[in-house]
Amino acid sequence: MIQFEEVSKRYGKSFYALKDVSFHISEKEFVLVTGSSGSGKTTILKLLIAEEKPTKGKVSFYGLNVHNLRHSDLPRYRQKLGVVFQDYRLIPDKTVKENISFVMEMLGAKDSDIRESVRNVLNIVRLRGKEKRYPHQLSGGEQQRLAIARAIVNEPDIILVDEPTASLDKENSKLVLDILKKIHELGTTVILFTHKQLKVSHAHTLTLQDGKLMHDSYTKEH
Amino acid sequence: MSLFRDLKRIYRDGWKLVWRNPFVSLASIIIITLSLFLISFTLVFYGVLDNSLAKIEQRVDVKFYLLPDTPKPELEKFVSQIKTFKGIDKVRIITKEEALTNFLKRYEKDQLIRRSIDELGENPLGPSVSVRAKDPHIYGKIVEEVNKRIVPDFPYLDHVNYRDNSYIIERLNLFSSVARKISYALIAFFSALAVFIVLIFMGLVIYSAKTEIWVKRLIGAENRYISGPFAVAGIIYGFFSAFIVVATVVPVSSWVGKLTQSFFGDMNPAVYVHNNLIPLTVFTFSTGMMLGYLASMFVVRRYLKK
Repeated sequence: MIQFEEVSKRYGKSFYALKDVSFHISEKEFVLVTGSSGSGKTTILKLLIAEEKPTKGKVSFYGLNVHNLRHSDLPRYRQKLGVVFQDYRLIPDKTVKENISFVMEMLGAKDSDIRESVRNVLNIVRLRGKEKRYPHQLSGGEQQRLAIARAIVNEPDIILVDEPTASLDKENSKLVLDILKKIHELGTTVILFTHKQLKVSHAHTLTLQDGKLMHDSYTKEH
Repeated sequence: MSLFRDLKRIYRDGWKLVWRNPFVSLASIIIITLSLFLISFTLVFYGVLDNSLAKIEQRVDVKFYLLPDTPKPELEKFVSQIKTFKGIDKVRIITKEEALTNFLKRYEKDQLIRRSIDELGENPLGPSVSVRAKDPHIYGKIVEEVNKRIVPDFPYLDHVNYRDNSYIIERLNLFSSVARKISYALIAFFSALAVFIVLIFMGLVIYSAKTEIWVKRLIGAENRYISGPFAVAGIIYGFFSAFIVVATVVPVSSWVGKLTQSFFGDMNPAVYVHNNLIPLTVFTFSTGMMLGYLASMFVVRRYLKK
């Protein structure tokens, strides 16, 4: 499904955020990309969503080189991904319902389908009853769950989650992780980027350090 | 994917952008209103100036004074020949009798002149032919043509007042030409300034929504969903701005008209605005909405290219 082949990313003349990273992610995996701050996790995320281009190597999605896509094809590629950003990036002047529904509107979905999908995802993330609130009226945990709801509403092939529990307490962190596990159980590939040690059974773990892949739990240790 | 449904959603999101950000919307409307005022008043100024100049130009003519014993058929032949020239607007015959009446009216308080006419016992004045051209710049050519084509076979021409008035006519032509050029330059300058101000301000407005643009791009929104609502918001700002301008231009031009009545005479701003209210309204609304739309699209496109 996703293939990184000898991918490097250099910023400036000599700083390598990623160096010769190779791994493979299959469908329906739950992947933990772990490492401390500055290890290259967010760079992998940015390369996957084509916000950055690799300096060397290839990033493939179902065999397609992501960074050879035409500018006009990028929206269609990104529609296959659900992204949850570390700082949520919720739209402040849209309600909870609107922050979720506009994703499906972009795809031209009918109003009735949107209503049903929004209801379903709000149930999954446990935000029913808060449809008319604005992001600033939600707690940190609720905003995180709203961001997840937005990412999953159009049933993407993969959901990419950047540091979902970074600013949450233990209880909310557990709730978010449970939601992500539930999403995975429903058949979505989940890639979770985190600096924390999280316990997820049968997860495919990629451990980064200083831009290098130190450990891939599905292959021999690097 | 239904186009109508997409347009409906884009339109709805555009409206939401406007009323959910009231301070930003108000500021945008104020900026576009000021810009439209700049453009509109410059245009009204040009319109009034142009009309005033045209009225003055219409008063300029060339008179061919004929001898008192000019036979009527010859007079009529002279007139019909002049009418064949290019660029002639009006040709009028002033008969001997009319000429005398006008003369006596002009000098009604001058007893010496009146007594002199009475003593003569007959009308010493001859008929004249007043020629008005469509373009005041061609009077010289008309006189030249008359001298070349008509005068050799027409012994009744006494004199032409063009030589006496040519300096004034040329100065008037020069003044109106310069005045019009300055007006065009002012229109161009203020229009460019207005567009520039709106662009800068819309840049700030859309910058404040950059999160929304960024998120929409990263979730795979097509460009029309990203830029569409901003375009709609820009058109709405332009519409309301135009409404304010049109609603205020009539009372403001009335006020200015009273102040400038003595200078512009009949063609003061109030009259000009009243006579051209519909085209001015259409122009203001279309300019306002176009300005809002283009400014929004120009700024959003920069974010879409990144």
